[in-house]
Parts: sequence; structure tokens; C-alpha cells
Amino acid sequence: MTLTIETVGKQYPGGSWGLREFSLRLTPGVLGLLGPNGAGKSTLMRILATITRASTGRVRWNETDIAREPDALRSVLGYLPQDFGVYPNLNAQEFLSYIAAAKGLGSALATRRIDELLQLVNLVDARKRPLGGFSGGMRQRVGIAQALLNDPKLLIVDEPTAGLDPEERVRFRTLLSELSGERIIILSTHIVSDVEATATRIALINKGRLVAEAAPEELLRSAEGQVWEWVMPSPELAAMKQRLLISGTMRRGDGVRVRAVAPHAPVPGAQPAAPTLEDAYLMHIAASRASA
Amino acid sequence: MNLPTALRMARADFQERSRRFSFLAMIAISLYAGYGFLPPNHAAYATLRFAEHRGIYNSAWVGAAIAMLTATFVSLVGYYLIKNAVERDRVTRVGHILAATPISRFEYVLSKTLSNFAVLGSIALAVALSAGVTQLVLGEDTNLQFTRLLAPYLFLTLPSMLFLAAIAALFEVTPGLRGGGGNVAYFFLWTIGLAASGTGMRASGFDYVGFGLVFPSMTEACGAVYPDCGSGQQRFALGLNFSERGVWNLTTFVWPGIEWTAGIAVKRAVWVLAAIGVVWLASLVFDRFSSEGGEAPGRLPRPWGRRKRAASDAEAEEAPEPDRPSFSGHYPIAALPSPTQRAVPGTHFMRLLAAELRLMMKGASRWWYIVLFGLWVASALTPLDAARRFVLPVIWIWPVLLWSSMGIREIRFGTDQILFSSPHPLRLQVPAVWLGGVAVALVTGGVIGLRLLVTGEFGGLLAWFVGACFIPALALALGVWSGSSRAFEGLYTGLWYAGPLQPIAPIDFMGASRAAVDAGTPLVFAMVTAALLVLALIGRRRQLQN
Repeated sequence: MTLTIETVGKQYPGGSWGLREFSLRLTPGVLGLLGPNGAGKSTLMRILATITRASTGRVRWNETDIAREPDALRSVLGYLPQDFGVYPNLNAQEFLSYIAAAKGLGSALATRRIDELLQLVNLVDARKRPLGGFSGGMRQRVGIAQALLNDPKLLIVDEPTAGLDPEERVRFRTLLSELSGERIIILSTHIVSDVEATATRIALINKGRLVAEAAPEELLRSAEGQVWEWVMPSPELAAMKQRLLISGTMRRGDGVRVRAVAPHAPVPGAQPAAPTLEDAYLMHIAASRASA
Repeated sequence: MNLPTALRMARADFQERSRRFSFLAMIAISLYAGYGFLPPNHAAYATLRFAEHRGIYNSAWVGAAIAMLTATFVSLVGYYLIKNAVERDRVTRVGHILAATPISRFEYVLSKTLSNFAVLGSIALAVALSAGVTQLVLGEDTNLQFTRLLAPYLFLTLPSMLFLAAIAALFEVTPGLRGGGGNVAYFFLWTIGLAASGTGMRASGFDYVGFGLVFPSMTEACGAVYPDCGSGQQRFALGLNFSERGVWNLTTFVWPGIEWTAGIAVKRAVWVLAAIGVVWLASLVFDRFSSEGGEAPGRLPRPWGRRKRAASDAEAEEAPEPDRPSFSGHYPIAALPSPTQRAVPGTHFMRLLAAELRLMMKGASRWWYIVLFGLWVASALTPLDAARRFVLPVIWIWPVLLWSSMGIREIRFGTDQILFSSPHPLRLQVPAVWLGGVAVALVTGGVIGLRLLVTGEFGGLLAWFVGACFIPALALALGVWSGSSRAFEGLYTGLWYAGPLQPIAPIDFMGASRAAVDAGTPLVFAMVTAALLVLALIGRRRQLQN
């Protein structure tokens, strides 16, 4: 089971590129797709979900070109878009039943599957309430359930934890991890902690281009020796932010503890620190900006 | 009231609208209309005539004729074009931001009215300027006088358009009128209003279009040359008049125009004042995007019935969440069994069709079914000819708001990405949506269809069946291509009124009259249905390949 992205590009009317020469080969596991806002994550997701056609390159599901035969992928695809709607006069069960019909699930199977998924996303008690009365987090959980209806082999989730409370967010991360064994999951987000908890591989994207692709451990290793911490007077912080890539600050009684990404100790007395995924992410994105 | 604020908002709103492709398309159509409104001699149709005569195409005649024609036609079509100013703020949620600003309700409604007015004024100006060029091209009088050409635009068209702009804003902020019900209701309001305005107010010159200001002078000029159109004859016709002889052979006379005086300006100012009154009324009704009566973005309007549930996001926030198990005791995810059976060939389509039908019927309330039951009873008890002629048209206007959501639901409610990434969005989903609409038509009109079958009226039965297929095909094609329900609601209501209700045989798509069946209209509409389905498929394919 492979998803192969070969030099894919997407050009919008007006000539701007949302994605350029993007190549990646995916096998079962969770790929965390990280990038700043406007990096091209959603464009890539939409191409992979057969919603949008690539302007250049191609995407193959196993050996099938999804632009030519999109239905080969659609029958095994689960997709949670970043921004999706619901039919507000349907209740959760009816909406999922409708989507199940669109996905071609048999009636008995759909009924059973919907029961299981409503339980999974904690909406059993709300199953008969019209979706128009749902909060944002509850709608998001309906979205998660619809993506899992057909037991997808390729699961694409775009900013899936938006609107979820911390408890539901943790539940969803756990769910992704447990689902990842026999399928390819692509998790697009700009929340590094979501990726940190679930991803087996991480792809960094900026300005439509692939910046890096590696296992989380490799990314962490790449940032080793480049993260520094020190304490400095608060009034000097603003000037320091202009000069360095600051990844964190913490107020203390004697000033502010600063954490920065830099190839060498940025100030006398700075101590090397163990890098986090966020440090590695900032380092790679900053490097890609510098080289652009 | 802060007028500059309203003007700034109106300008921004107009900028947003004028930068859309649809606006350019509207202007292009308007330019063509300016040409089409001035048919040359021996054309198959006439637009303004007095018996068998018309004025020579000089700037005075062209300006006045175009102003009246524009005010008449744009007051119908224009409504459906502009009635989305407040809706856009609801859908984009900009309304929620605006509601939190100090802008007053009156200022907000006024800004939307002025934006509507700018769109309508642009359309009318394009028609007028195009007509001026047409005057030169036709060459009956090559002396182009801009004052005479554009004074009627200023005095006749613009006040009418301002009033229409305010009416559209009023409908948009009024619960029950902002959706499809209002779109259908407006058609009848336009028909009745124009007729009432024409007969009751024309003599005083206060009528909506301004007929009463211009026609007496035109009639007098015509009567001076041709006695059959003198005063009191009232044999004028304005609109698209097709000649029974194939082409018109109208003789011409010279109409020098009228003096556009301050008195006329005062009479027309009545409609400006009326527009302000409508804006004021609308500001009283406007809910400022609050929960009561306001539809939260992305909500399906319940066209015919009650609201079962809390409508707003605010209420949704207050809605209790189900009891949540502690995290440690959460549902064991790994135990979620995998489906052992995926798509079932053959049943996939039937399941999808049933789902589409269920979704469509969700918009119908209990009252909707009660009225339908009454119509079924009327279908059964009325003599068959009368049932076809009068009951069937009523039956097939009743589900108009169910049909009008076809082809647009996915985009309107944001489920497009989910559905378009499901298997066979073209081959299965589009036919399922259409057949769902056909099923609604067949079931609602079923009693009459059954009677036609039993009595052996196979011609009528064919027309009935074609009608049942045509209506959803029209809804689907217009929905997919326009992205809005207004196109279908406006066009279908007009077609329904002119075709089956009048009836005009060539456009009686449901065969309400025997003449339509004899004229072969069902066969024409069968072909039109096929073409519409192809168009719908092409449109959906285009959306999929975006």
C-alpha cells in the first residue's frame, strides 16, 4: 500500500503557485504534515483527496494515477476537510447514513458502523439532535466519524483538532495512533504537539515546497546542539527577538528565561538545551525562508 | 444616522460584487439587451408599439422606451440578481463582525440598499448606453442626443431601481421572505404590483415605471399621424410582442420627447421616499444577525415549516453536551471492528437515491404534507381536464423549494469536499439527485398521473411524465451552474406562470392544456430535459476538476 506524490504542483488562476515540485512516498503509518499558514498544506490535502487536480506532476495510489481514476482511491478514502459543513436539519445518525450511502456502504453495515462510530466520538446521546444545534467541537466529531465510515485505507485529516477541547484532542490523537497500523494517515496541522504525539514520519512544508521529510527522531537529531537557553533582563527581550529565532520565553523573578535556535551560543552564558520538535520545526522553516 | 458610514459600506459591498465574474456577465447581457430592445423593422418581435406603429428611433424615443423596458424587466430579473447582499454577510459570517460594531440597523440596511442600487443602476446604464449605440447602428435618426437619451434613465429608471433595491433588502432581512418562499412570493408581488401600478396610478403619473408621464405624449404624437392610435385608444403594448404573422411591419412616427421638468422630478421622488420608507421598515425587522429569527451560517432554511431546534451558534454553545465518560474509561478504539463489506454493486445507487430523497424531504414540514394531501384530494375529485389544467400546476409549484436546493446543497452547506471525494460523484450522485427530484414530482402529481393512465390519455400521461422529469433537471442544471437557488426559483416560477398557468402551449412543459400535447410540446421538453441533464453533468464535472 503506497501513495506516491511525484513532483506535484498547483498553479492558481493569476499565476501564483500553491504547491511546487512536491514529491513524497508514503507507506502505512501517520505522516504529520507541518507548515505555517498558507504553506500549501490544504492544497496538497485537496489534491490527495481528489477534490482538486494538480497542475503538474501526478499522484499514484499503489500504481493507479488518481487524476485518471479517482474512484480507485475514493472507495478507500476517508477525508476530513479543514472547513466542512453539515446539513443542519439532519441529526448525526441521518447525516452519517447519508454519507455512508455516498460512500457505497451496504445498509446493514452502515447502520452497525454508524453505531460504533457515534460511540467512538462520544455522540451516542446526541445522535438524534439536529446538527444545526451542535457546537463546533461536536460538529468536528461528526466530521471525524464520517471520515472513518468506510474503514479507509488512506485517511486524510486536515486540522482535525480544531475546535476540540483538550480532552477530545487527546482522544483523537490516541485514535489516530491506534488506527495507523494498516493504513496511511496524513495529518495536516500547524499544531506541533499534535504531530509529536502521533506521527511516525514528519514532512515540513513551506511556500508550497517540501522542506524536509524524516522520522521525528531524525528531525530532533538535526536540531541537536542548536538550541540554547539563558536568562536575561526583560527589557532586552524585544531587541533579542529581532536578532534571534526565539522558540520560547518564560518569565522569572530574575528576568526572563529565553530559548532560542542558533548554530552557536548566541550570548555568553547560554546553555545548550535538548531540542523539541517545535525547535526543529522552527529551525527548518527559518532555513527554508533564508534560502528562498 | 451616519450617512458616510452607510456610503462607505455600500461602496465596499459594491466593490465586492463588481469584482465577480457574474457581474461582468450581467453587464455583458445588459449590453446585449440594449441592442435587443430596439428591434429593426420586419423583426419577429416588437418591444414598444402603439397598434401597428412605433416611434422612429431617435434619442428621445430610444431613451424613454429603454427606460420603461428596463424598469419593467429589471424589476423582475434584477431582484433575483441582487438578493444576496445580506445573505453573503450571513454565510461568510462577516455579519457577526458587523453586528458587534456600532453601526445602526438603519445604516446597515441602507448600505445594502445602496449597494443593490449601484448594481441595478450599472445594469440599467449599460442597457441605456448600448441602446444609444444601437440607435446609431440602425440609423433611423443618427443625431445622438445624450440629454434626451439619458434623462429618462435618470427620471424613470433610477427611482424604480432604488425602490426595488430597498424591497430586496427588506425581503432579505425578513424571516420567511429571505429564503425561497420570498423568491416565489416576489414573482407574484411583481405581477400584481406592476398591474396595479399600471392601472391605478398611471393617470396621475405616479406609477412605478413612469408610464403615465410618457405615454400620453407618445399617444398624442402617434394619433397626430395615425388616427387608430389617438388618445383614448390605449392600444399600446410594452414587452416582447411576437407577431402572429411572423414579422412586424410597423409604421413609424416622430416623437420629440417630453420636457423633464421639476414637476416630473417631484412625482418620481415619491418612489425615492417610498424606498427610504421601506429601508426604515426593514431596519425595524432586521435581527442584526442575532439568534432570534436569524439563521446561523450554513443552516438549511426550513422553507415551509417550523423550526424544531435552536437555530443559532449561540444556542448551540448552550446546548448540553452528552455525558462524557472519563478519559480512562473511554471507548476502546482498537475494538472498533473493520467493515467486512464495502460497496455493494447495484444497491449503492439505490441507497444513494433513497438518501437523497430523504434529505430532500427533510425540508418539508407537517403542514407541507397536509396541503399536499389536500391537493391529492382535489386531484382525485376534480374532473380530469380541470385537474390537469388547474390542480396539476398548483401541485407542481408546491415542492419548488425542495427542488431548488438540488445541485447547490453540497456547496451551500460545505459538504462538497466530503461528497466529491466519495466514489462516483458524477456517475452516481448526480443521477441520484435528479431522480430524487423526479420521485418528488411523480409522487406529488401521482393521482393525476394515475387518472391519465386509467383513462387511456396517453398523450397527457407522456406530457405529465416529461414535466416530472423536466422540473428537477432544470433545478439541477441551474443549481450546479449558478450555485444559487434563486435562478431556479425565479425562472421556474416565471415559466410556470407563462406556460401551464396561462397557458402558452409552446412552453406548457407539463401538458396542462391539450393544445400543448397536440403541439408536440412534451417532445420538445423531453429533449430540453436531456440537454439540461448533460449541462448538469458538465457543470458538476467542472466543479470536480476545479
